[in-house]
Amino acid sequence: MMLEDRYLVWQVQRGSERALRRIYNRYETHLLTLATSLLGRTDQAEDVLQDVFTRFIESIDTFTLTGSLKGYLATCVVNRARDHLRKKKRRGEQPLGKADSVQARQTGPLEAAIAREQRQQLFAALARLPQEQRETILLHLQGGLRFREIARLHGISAKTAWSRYRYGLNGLKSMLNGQVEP
Amino acid sequence: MKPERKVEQMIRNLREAPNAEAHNRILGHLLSVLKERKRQTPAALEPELRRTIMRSPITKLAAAAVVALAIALPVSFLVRTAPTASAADIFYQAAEAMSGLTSFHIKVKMRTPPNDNFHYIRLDRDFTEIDFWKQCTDDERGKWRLESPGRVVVMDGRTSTMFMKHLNQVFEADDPSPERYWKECLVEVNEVMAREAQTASERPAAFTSSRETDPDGREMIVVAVEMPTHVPPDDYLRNKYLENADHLKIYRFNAQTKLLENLEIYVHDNGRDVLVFQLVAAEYNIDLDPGLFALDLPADVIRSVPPEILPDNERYEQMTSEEAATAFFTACAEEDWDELVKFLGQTGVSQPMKAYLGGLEIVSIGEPFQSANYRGWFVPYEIKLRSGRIKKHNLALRKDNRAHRFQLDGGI
Repeated sequence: MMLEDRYLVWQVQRGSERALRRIYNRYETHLLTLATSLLGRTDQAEDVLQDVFTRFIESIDTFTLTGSLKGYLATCVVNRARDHLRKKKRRGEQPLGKADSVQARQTGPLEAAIAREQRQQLFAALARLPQEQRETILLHLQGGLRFREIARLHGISAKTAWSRYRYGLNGLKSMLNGQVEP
Repeated sequence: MKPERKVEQMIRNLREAPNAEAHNRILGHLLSVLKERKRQTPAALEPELRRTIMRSPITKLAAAAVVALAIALPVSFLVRTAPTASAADIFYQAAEAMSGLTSFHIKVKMRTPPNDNFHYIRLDRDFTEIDFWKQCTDDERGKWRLESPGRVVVMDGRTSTMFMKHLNQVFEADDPSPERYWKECLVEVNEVMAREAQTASERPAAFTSSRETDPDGREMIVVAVEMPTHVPPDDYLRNKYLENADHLKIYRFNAQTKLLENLEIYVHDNGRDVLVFQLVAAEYNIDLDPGLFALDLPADVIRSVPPEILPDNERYEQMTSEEAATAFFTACAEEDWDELVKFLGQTGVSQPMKAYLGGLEIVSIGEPFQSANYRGWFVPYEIKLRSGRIKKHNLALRKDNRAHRFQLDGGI
């Protein structure tokens, strides 16, 4: 059995590097995927990941875990990614990176190449969704948050969150037509 | 699959694996932030437990009251004092202390039949001694051994194997965790403490903590937790497992080392408190014989296997639990071991089992029933063994297996 997140947080509050490593290793891939899906660029996603964990450590004294740690960190990633996009917009840069900025890090056989291609297309399709739909979809499917939790986060009703999710999913379905035909 | 489901699955399956350079860079940065924080505020990082417990006059009074009551009253009154919110902290401290162990040996005594499941309790039975040994290793799983007079489980670092000595039968689990055999197993004592901490933070009112001095003058932290069950009083499985019993657990930790020194568990049954579990001895960071973590099995050992699909499987699938029990005992009566093994999920029938059940007479088979959250059926039976002894009990049968046939799960 994995040690409880609450216990690991308690250990980090007491300065345990081992506990911090365990939390980071447990959620790194998941949060990096979420950030990359939101930003379209792996390098920027890494910055967000570092930023989220740095703030987590800096606020650990007053931190109280009320829900899941995964959900909490995913919410932080979404908020930081949104800040990141706002800043870019203010600087006049294209808010979302092109899909090809998601670095292809592995080389391999044909199947791997096809999988990579599909992944790039999915990242690209996510990037073309309205931000609120993209966030709702990713928070639900990657962050594991329920619609009422997403609604609370965005200051909307659970019904609106669900609608954003459905619209977003339909949008993705259209954009990925070739990949998702029954 | 519908396109929407496929899109959902694609997003769920998305994985952006970090590269080693980025992983090391970010983690290195985070560890340096944590170190810096630790350097700046060392006092805040290591709060004294005493300070945590004794920070308010009300808590001091409550703790004093618990000690006074513990001396003056039966154990059932121990938890009826003001709750304290620090029980979670005490368990977290204990979990942390026990995470740092290199090895340990814990001996307990428990009211359970010596040959039965480790977690099966019988209030009317004498105590059986059970030992836990653990050699902690870097990969967290460690190596461990759990042993009662009738059973031994050994985890060699990769897989766990249980040998039922009296049946000459072995069971190898896919999941090597000790919980597979016993939820409250103290082999993962730090995990048990972490779970208690979680419960204490969610239900602080159930926990009470205090301090006491043991006869050797050592200061101890005492935490009592009252655990109610939702199983009805007349249920067959009531008081047969801890989760099915109203019970009180009293933990005692060494205030200096934070290590578990004692644990007593009392089951509340019809106005009496029955001690069912007691930690007898705990030795930490000791040298353990590597031979403890290897199991020498007899050459003719019977192995447990998942039930295979039989050529006439349908016939067995259609049996009711009562029919399955009848078929089981009929096979014993006729000493038809090939037939019997179809109900056992094992490679054969052991000699001790043949000697015990062979040639029996069926006196009666009763109405099957279900109990608590057990996923199988209990079939009451009365048999006359070849020795002449009459045995009345309930055969436990379940069919949540790949062959969908009733298999023996206990009650012999």
